[in-house]
Amino acid sequence: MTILNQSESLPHKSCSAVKIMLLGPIGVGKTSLLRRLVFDTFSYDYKTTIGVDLVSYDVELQDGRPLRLVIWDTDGDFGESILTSSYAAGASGALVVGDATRPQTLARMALLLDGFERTMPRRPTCAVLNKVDLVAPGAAELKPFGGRPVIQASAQTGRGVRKAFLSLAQSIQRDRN
Amino acid sequence: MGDVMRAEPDCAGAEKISELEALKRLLFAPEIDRLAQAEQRVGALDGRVGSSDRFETAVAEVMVRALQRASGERAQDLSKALGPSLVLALFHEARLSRDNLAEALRPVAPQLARCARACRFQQFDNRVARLFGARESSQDSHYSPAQVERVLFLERKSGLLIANWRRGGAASDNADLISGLIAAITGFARDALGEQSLRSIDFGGRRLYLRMSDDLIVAAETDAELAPEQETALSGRFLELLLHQGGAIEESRLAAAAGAISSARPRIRTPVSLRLAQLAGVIALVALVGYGWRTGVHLRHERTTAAAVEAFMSEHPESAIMPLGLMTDHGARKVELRVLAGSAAEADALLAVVEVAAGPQYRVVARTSFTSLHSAYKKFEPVKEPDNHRLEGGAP
Ligand SMILES: Nc1nc2c(ncn2[C@@H]2O[C@H](COP(=O)(O)OP(=O)(O)O)[C@@H](O)[C@H]2O)c(=O)[nH]1
Ligand SMILES: [Mg+2]
Repeated sequence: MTILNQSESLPHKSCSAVKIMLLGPIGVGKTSLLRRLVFDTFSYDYKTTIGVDLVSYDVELQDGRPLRLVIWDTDGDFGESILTSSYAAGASGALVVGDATRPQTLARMALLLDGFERTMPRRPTCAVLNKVDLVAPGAAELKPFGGRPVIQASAQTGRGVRKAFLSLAQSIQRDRN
Repeated sequence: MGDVMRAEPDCAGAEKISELEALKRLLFAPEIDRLAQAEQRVGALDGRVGSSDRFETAVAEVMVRALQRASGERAQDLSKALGPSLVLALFHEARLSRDNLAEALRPVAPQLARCARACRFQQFDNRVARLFGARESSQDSHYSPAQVERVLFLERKSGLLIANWRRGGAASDNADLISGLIAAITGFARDALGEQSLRSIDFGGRRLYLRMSDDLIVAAETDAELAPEQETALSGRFLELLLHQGGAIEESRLAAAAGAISSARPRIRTPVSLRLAQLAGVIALVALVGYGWRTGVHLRHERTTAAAVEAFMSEHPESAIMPLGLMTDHGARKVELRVLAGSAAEADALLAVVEVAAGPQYRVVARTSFTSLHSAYKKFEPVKEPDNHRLEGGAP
């Protein structure tokens, strides 16, 4: 499974696309993770106005098929209301992010994960614990919670960033088959 | 002289007659002309004294000729004297009977546009241009309608692109993102503003026209504002596309729709010479000057408030404010500002600016929708340098 450089975007016709939500409280590093993944982000002034930004990113899945991720980076201000807004409609999966340095963000992360799975049944999610560069290895915050696998990531160092997006893409592809 | 001209034609046929006519013309041309003129003068006199109806028509004819001459040869003088009132009145009338008027005035459209320009009624100039189907600042009788640059066909909910066509077959940069953003913006408009079906978006300088069903959106990106005829064509073509629910859709259908919209020119009528009845109507319009001036005052007022909003926007590029509409109800002396803003303070600042521009006689009300906006995002500077390798090289 390889990530294709953003600049070598696949021609549209040969590539199916899925919508992915990037969720999590303010300041956990959602936008940073996305910027780490993709450099040429798409920026119209609307972002600050409508509270969402979009990035597309092409991946090649294990079976060699390409998949285009259209990632919706939302503002944390939405809270869980995002799940019932029009933004979440039609999403194929969600990456839900928490901040390793702020335990209270983990509780909200769990609420978002549950909420997404409830409102969008059978759509895969991926829990991401960001800013692991700021906590000591083995810290309590790094333990999986609620029996969910959590991907440890750092937008600062790049660790786990690709892995998180790709594992979500892979789950989505599995579900589609 | 009359007798000479009435020399009986013999029965040698039509050829002879025309020969004779030619000879007469050769010999008596000045006399024939003078006679014709005399006949005309009598006719005209008869026209004027005949009845009030005939008199009106005759006056109209004279005025129209004078107008035509003046608009052609002395555009500057005419524009100073009459241009603004006439043009204003025409716009009023144009709103009421657009087609008839456009047809009647087509032959003098360039002159009207020149008058308007000379009066620095730039906005009116553009309206003249639009009345005749040309784009902004018409190049006299050149009509160049807006072109469709791109057509996007997408799922309304997810924003995922179903099909995409671009003029000249250019590579589709970011089509997925534009389609996603269209869905985001229309979704936002519905969630936050209760706007069920946005019909157009000014999209970072691009102009997008939208038509949507519950599940699908068709969007056209154009290089300029569409003429009304083009927008009608767009509505028809896009409705057809929306009714086609069968999932996949060929690019060629989008191309066909784009072609139809781009080429839906305002009906070009063969230039007819001005007909008297229509012209009498035009003259009557001059009597609407009073009304016209009031319209002019209103238009200037609307322009002033719109300019104030524009100035505010360019002075505050950092603000997250997005004006959605500025509606003036002159009857009620009310200006309604519809705006999306990140904060109440931002909205208030804009409102204050509009209040000043609208003047004390107008009440300005704002319909503000707040957007979720947090300063953290704004502080975040994008990572610019391509450091993809660090994705691999990060801490384990
Ligand atoms: N040290 C560290 N800081 C981070 C990391 N990710 C994000 N940040 C910082 O956290 C703040 C909020 O990040 P942002 O991406 O705007 O969060 P968002 O609100 O979730 O989009 C910014 O100051 C980032 O520089 C990380 O992995 N490590
Ligand atoms: Mg963000």
